[in-house]
Amino acid sequence: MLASIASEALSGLEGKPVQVEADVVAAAPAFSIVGLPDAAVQESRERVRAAIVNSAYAFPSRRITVNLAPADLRKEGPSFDLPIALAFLVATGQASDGCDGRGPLAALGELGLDGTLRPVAGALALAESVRRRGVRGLILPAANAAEAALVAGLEVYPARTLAEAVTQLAAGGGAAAPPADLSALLGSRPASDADFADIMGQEQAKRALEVAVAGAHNVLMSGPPGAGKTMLARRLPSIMPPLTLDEAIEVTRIYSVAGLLPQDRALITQRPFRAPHHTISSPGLVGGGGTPRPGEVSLAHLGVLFLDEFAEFRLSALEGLRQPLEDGEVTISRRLMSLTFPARIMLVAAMNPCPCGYLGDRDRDCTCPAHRVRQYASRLSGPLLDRIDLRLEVPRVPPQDRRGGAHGDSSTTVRARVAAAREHQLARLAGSGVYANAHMSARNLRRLCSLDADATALLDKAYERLRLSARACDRVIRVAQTIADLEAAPRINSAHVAESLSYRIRSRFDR
Amino acid sequence: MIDEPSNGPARRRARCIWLGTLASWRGGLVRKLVRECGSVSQVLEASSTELSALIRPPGVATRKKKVDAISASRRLAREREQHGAARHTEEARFACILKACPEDFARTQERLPHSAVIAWCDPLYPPALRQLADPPLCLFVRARCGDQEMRRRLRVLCDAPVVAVVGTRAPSPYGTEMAWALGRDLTVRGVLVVSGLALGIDATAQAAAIGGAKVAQELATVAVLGCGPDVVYPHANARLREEVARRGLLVSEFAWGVPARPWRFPARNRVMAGLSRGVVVVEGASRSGARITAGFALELGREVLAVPGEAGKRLTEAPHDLLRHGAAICESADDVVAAIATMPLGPESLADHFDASEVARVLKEGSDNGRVCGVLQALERGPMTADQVAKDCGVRVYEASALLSELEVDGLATLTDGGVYRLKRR
Amino acid sequence: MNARQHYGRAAEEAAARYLIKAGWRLLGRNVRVGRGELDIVARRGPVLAFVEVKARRTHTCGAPEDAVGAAKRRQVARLAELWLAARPWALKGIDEVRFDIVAVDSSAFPSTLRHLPAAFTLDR
Repeated sequence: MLASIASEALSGLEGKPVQVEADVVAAAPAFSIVGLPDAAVQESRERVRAAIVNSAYAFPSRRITVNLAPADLRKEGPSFDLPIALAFLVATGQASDGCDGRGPLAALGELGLDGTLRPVAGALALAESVRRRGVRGLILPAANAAEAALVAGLEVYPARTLAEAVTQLAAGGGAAAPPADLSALLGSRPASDADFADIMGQEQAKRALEVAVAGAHNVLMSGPPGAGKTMLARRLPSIMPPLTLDEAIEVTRIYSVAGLLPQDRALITQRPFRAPHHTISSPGLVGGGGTPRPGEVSLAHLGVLFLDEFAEFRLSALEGLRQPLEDGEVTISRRLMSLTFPARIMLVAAMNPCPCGYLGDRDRDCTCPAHRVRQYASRLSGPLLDRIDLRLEVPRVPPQDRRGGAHGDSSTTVRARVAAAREHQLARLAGSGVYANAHMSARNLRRLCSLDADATALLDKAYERLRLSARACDRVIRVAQTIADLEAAPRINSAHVAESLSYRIRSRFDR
Repeated sequence: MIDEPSNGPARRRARCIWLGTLASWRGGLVRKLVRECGSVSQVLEASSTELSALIRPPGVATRKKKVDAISASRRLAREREQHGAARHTEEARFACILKACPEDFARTQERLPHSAVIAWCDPLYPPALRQLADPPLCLFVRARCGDQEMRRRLRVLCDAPVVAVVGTRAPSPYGTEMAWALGRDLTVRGVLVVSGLALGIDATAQAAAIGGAKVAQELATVAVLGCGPDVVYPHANARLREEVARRGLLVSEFAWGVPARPWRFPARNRVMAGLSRGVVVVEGASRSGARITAGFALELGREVLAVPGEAGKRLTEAPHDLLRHGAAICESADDVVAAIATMPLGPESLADHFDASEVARVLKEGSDNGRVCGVLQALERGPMTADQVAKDCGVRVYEASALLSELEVDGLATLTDGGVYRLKRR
Repeated sequence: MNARQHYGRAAEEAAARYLIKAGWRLLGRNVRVGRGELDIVARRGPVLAFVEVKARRTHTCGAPEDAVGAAKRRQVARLAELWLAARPWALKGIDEVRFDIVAVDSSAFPSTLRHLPAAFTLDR
């Protein structure tokens, strides 16, 4: 007997439709799965067999052939356990498919040996694909129900065990999960105790970071050990503007595919902040593996990627950052396929000025020979430096400046300013495909940014006197635009340009 | 390159060059010969057999050096270990040259383009160097110019007042500024600046001298090297070396191809001190090469000047120690000129020489931008970070950043390591 | 015939009698298929079973069930396929096809007989 259940396969960040067909005949008993299954899918046979028997169904000794169509799409992961089991049960007459009237239901999920349904990775992407292809509903593990409920217009039937799934299939539905209240989810923010005002002194650094976050500009922090670079970076999430709904879904999808979605929250509402250790490999940072999985840059999409001890990262890993910083996405090619993951990040890099770390420190002397300082500085390759808009020196704050000063602005205040600046940017950049000043193309820069006369004069003078390159000029204008947005100024004036100049990258040797 | 005079002097000259080359492969040779024979001329008159006896070939009791102090023996042992292989090849070269005939050998040394060999007996040998107890028997010179031009430059070297500017390889921004100012101002005033082409102060002073020597015919600067003039060391200064070769002279007592080794630098320092009327130490730690150069200068009776700095810093140890022991203080080129008592040959004051108060005055008159003046005054009190300037002037930190940027664009301030802004001396 | 063959024969007889008593109809015993042999082919209702009989007098080499190793199983499965292919009518009215093992254990007295239905399948 033949039975067929609809399901989905995960390919990169989206689902591809799969039809699970089961054919059961009386012949020498065998159980085979075809359709380019990987090892986990092959192992489905054991899980399905045990789950069916332990759920008090019969597993008669027949020849069972399961086909996962289309036959040229690679199938990976344990999510086909449930549709295979359901197809088998329908084919042997132990379950019925009661959906004919209202349209078929899709099913996916991993089965434990006792018949319980386990969650799968990428449920959100798979649910979106189900909706896209026009199937009205999805039976899936209860733990994934919250994710799938984010998809508008999809009936979601959570099941905890195989038996429940069978019941739902027979009934053509059942108790559907309620659709998610998106605005309520977006509004909730987990409380954090890291506040910008905790940092004493370092006003220039805080201001520079405020500008950077407002415009999503990449930042390089340089300073001796213990100056507070890591402390500053860790407080960045507290001043980052909130995600819009579309952005939240994008980020949630990536985390769902990576299997990193937290159990208690279905929707990620905070901008991601990733801080990989400097021993990370290139595939770990950029993405890869036999079946490409999102790397740290994709997990930091629409958020911050913080690279502490920047000079200690492997060159191969840093080279891989070029494409994401330029295009906002990462393309990973393998022999059989090529996948693109989004990776629009704000890069924050922190490094010491020299191997011992104390070059330029007022209290301690640098003990590095000159050629080693040069070697160290040259680790930042030209192309990477080209993508960094702001550079700040973070010196150690002398004790007298740390005590007894007025507290700086709190994170809430700063975040409000940053959010307002983002609004201005979104209004200006509507239709250009980017959401922040840092990602403006050179053409859009000319078109959308207007400088007043003083600002233009100052910029020209700076171009000549400070020997800026054309790209450096563009960077100055971008940052100046963000500074203007923070003040809600209609045009860029010379004070904005001047402040932007103070954050430019300087070559170490033109003094 | 140099015209060949008649036979007797020619023989002396050849002997000179041959011995000079030998000496560059083994240090202390000239000193020993002079001690044995009495004076340099007697060394040159000595017969070949006498010389061969005195110049012990390698492998025979050269290892058995008598050492007085324990530290010296430890240093030698360490050096021997480090440079054991190098010394071995050098000893081999030495042996090879020792076997050669002086006249033929001298001819080969002189046949190279863009080069000259000045023997001790030549008229173009700098007279100041003859005052050394163990002068270089010949100088190997290299410059990217024709014979005529080379001879003219050598003459300038003999005639002009020479000052050596030396210092540490890792200077502070203040030291770099001072070295730059001294290099440029002294050259403009007609003083010839020499240095060792090392990283740091030396390179800065020489680069400034080249920049300051506007007239094409002047000898911009002379670099005294601790290796053969055709050897590029340090590699980072390759471009500067080219510039010096084009506009000045590369001089060394070491022959072509002699590599740079640590034990050759003190020897180079004595040549620098010997050539100059005065030595200026800009910055240096207490046990630095600059100190050694100053020591030689004191022995030779030359003027020693030192540039003061911040008390207690490691880099001001050498200058302050020299000041304590009677060196003259050097705050600008004027002090140097006064110390070597030369009439200034160039313009008295430099047209574009500002100091900070001048700047402030000019600005106050020119515009009513009081805040810029406030920032300038703050920086006058000392280098500061943007945070400190903001606190000092009572403005928001981003306003301070903007003002400091404007100063940078106008060339009045500069950002150094550690996020510290300082006023630029122009 | 020696003692071992006697013993084997006796075990097969015992297995056959047991199956018949349990309601199985024996379709063939020691059926020669190609170059191999199937011990018993039996049918009961809609179930067709290919039975391997294994007997052991001691446990030195392990339990009788373990004697049916991977190679043996593959061989039995292959022979079964061949047998079925030659007799297309054999599957009429058959719902299930199984591979069974009957294990005769003579290590203790009296001998015990175990019937393991659906002991293995083609893909394991």
